[in-house]
Amino acid sequence: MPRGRNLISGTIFEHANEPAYVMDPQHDRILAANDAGCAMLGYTREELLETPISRIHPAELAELQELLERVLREGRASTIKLTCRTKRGTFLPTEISLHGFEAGGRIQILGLVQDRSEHRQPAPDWAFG
Amino acid sequence: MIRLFGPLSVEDGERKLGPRDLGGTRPKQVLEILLTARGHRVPTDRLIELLWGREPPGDPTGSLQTFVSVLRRHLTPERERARELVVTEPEAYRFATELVALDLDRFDQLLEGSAREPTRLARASLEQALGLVRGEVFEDEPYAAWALDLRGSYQGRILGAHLEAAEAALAELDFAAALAHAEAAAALDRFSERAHRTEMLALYALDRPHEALGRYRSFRMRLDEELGLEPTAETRALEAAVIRQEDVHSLLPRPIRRAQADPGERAFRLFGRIAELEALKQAVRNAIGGGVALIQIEGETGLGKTRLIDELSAELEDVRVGRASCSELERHLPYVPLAAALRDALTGVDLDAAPLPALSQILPELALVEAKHEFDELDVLEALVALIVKHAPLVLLLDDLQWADPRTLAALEYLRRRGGDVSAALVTAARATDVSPEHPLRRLKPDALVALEPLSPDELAPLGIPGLYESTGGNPRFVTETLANGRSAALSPTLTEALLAQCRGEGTWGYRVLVAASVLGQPFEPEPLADLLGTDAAELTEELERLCERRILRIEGLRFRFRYDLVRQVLLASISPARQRLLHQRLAALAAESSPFSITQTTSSMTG
Repeated sequence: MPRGRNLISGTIFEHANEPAYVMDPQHDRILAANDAGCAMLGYTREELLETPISRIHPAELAELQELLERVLREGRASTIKLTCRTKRGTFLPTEISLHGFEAGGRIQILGLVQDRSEHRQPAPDWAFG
Repeated sequence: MIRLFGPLSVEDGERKLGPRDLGGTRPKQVLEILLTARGHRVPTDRLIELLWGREPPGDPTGSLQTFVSVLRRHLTPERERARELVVTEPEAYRFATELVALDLDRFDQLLEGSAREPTRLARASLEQALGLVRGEVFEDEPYAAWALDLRGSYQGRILGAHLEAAEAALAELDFAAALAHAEAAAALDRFSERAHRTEMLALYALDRPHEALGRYRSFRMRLDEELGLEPTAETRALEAAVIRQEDVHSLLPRPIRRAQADPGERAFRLFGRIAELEALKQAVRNAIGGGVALIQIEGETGLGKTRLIDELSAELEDVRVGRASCSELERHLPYVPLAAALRDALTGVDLDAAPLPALSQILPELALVEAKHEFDELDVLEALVALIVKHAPLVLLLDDLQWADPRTLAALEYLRRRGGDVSAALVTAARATDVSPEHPLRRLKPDALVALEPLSPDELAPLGIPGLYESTGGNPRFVTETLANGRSAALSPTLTEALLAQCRGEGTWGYRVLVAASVLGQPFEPEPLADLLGTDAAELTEELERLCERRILRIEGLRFRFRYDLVRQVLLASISPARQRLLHQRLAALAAESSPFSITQTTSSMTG
């Protein structure tokens, strides 16, 4: 892979087996999510991109903010403390590794997430639609 | 201590307040909402909305003020203290959680800390965290809006703690405890694949294979009937292993033995400093064995004092370790760095200030209800000695001591003189060259002094960078920056490069191992990777374990795999086609020579 290629639109991001998200921390938005990321949270891609990050971590805003600040300061941060709320309301224990990078002059965050419980979920309705 | 697990309770020595002792339902709810914000301000509008919804009373602000007033009165009879705890801010209130111990905070500290601890300590931390769980968060408020999300979030965290504790217990061959945690996790999440897999493994290890297979069947049936899913390949593989009666030890996770530093703080290996680190370790050992010692690291800016403390800290075992840095902005505040280090060392310890009231002068959070009282400085220091005696062996690491407040410095000297045969070491780092001759730091009499000098050309030689010593003068900070810039860590314009830079930050050898590992199918065994790299498998395994501790790889039974497949794919994609071809040829040759390694495993990864 040539250096400098944009990973977000690349197949590596799209087809990675692990949930991965690109986030805009300043605007509380998820900018991109791969298939595994959508499946873990039970959303369609369109739904997920319309869902604020704060809705995925409703009771953890202060902790999330501290973590994001660490990423902005140090380039990366990881935690096993945060949980992610799925569309169905289940809170999954996760290991989250955040990596900061610059795209188009803006700081964005890549979040690599593992569902530590490996919670199995039914296929979302959209999968059959 | 304020407990939110189970029914709300406020405990201060003998005084215990339950949900009914806070002046009524509304004042109690105000306290709950403020505590949910974990020290952040809650606007009065938000409080009113949460308390009354769409039907507020005629004067909601006045009613809220009344509830706050009632709450303060019930929380503590001391008015000023009450106002310090429930803080009035412009159009908002805040609960000063930094002045109290909150069970949720302690749970989080223990859980987060366990991720960086070796297995034995991690397991103890997780058990301690789970010991705090007396029930659901805000048990007495089952339907309140502010309680629901927090409760759900902690259900997830508790589930995670049980899963980690189960795995740690498996690694330590305590199968009964592993089973208990796995069952607790499975009860919390009926569809958790990992919980059920851990249950199966624990049962198999307990020589109960039929029950292990029974759990598998019932889980598979549940998945099929309720979700229309099959167990994952990993769980099916475990079932197959149980049926084949495979050696259980080949299926168990392996314990991590070394403590782990914060991944973000140790991008490069320590170069040189072997003698200095050994001298520090020896001085600490002497102190633990023979009485309090003050051990000082001295050196100018950038010579690696903090890094040396990192390394020392990572190697300390079987002692309580507390670490803090002094701040120039806080040098007028008494005991702040000492208190921070003590809090760190005593994380998870339920400190009772009643027998040592003077201790609250150092740790103000211990005086929740009692009126503020000025203690004689000698009483404070004696209380400190008693605390350390009680929790020894203990090592306190204080960085940037040149900015410590005079009381912390006096306390260090007092401990050194008074400590006698207490098992404790006080390790400090200071830029002594930056302080005036009158500075109290000059009057400290360390028992051991480690003075840092720039790195020598010989110490930098293994890096293989021509002119590095000449350009940096052997200053470790300049060396690190040179290496970082050379690897474009801070300049990466794209995410791919950022991830690659982080892998390169593991050093030349670590990066080479990662790149080669990215070629293998996942999970991979160390032997084929060692063959691919032409190195010794045992040495390579040590590096793989280190990369696991750095949370880039993970241990899976007797094999390893990338923690995030995305990182593997980025590494794989970064290899030039020519190198890919060479690696592919070498893998094919190895597979042909050696039947244990599957050729399909190696080649599939090359194409995938």
